[in-house]
Amino acid sequence: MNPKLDEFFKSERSRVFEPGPYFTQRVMAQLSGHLAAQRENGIWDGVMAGARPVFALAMVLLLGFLAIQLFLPDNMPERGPIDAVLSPGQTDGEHLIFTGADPSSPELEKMIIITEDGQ
Amino acid sequence: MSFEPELVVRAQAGDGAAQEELVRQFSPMVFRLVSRFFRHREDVEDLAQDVFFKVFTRIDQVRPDENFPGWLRRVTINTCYDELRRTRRRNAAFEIYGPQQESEPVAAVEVASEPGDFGIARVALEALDPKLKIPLILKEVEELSVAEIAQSLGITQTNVKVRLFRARKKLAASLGKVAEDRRS
Repeated sequence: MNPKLDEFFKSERSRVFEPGPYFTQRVMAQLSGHLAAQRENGIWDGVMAGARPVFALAMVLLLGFLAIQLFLPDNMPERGPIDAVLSPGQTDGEHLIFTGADPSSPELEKMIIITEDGQ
Repeated sequence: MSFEPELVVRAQAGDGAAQEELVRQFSPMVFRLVSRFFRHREDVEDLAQDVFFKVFTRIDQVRPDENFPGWLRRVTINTCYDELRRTRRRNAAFEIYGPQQESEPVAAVEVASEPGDFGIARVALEALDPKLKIPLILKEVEELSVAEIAQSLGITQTNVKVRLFRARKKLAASLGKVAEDRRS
């Protein structure tokens, strides 16, 4: 190797810093501060930093599922208004109510009026 | 250095006195290693503190049969490597996006203040990629063997030899360039 470089590396060997008198206390203070923060943080510190988003997503999904189970009624109506409009099995009366069309014949109109009056 | 492995076991159990003793015993070694890569006392102190913080937060990873000083050296070198890479990225970003300065670059001012050609050598060494700079410093300044460097960096001995060869080649080329710039 270049002799000048050799000399340079030799000079670098003597360039060393020594720890200051309070270095140990600084390290111990930082460490105890970290331990105190860890105790405050609780459950999240037990989970690895990389796994936290996955853990959070799993919690949200689980809570969401539980909420749906709790708040949705057990007995759902079999047919809603949209089904009634789309369904080919609807009666003439249902068709008139859901589509708002005019009765196809005067007899049907009369029948509906009589039914409504009866109720 | 005489060292009681019992201290590590006690430190793993959370014994503060043992942790303090480990810092006291090994801080000169950590400071010496960090000083090889950083020139300012404040940087060296902060990094040495980072090293011990990492050591005690991961001390569970030390196996009873493991060589603690060797493990500590590995943590120290890795910490220095990360910081050198961060500094290099920061400097590169500053050169691209930072304010344009008319004044003389800091490196040039520092070169002029150093005796002989050491300033040129230092600038050339600073310009090396940390991947090449670290093995070179460990070999030439810290006088570690290739096997020890490989163990510290977690790479093969062949890889260390290749990096040393490239580092020397690049350093020689940079030295020539800096000397030429200085003459012109």
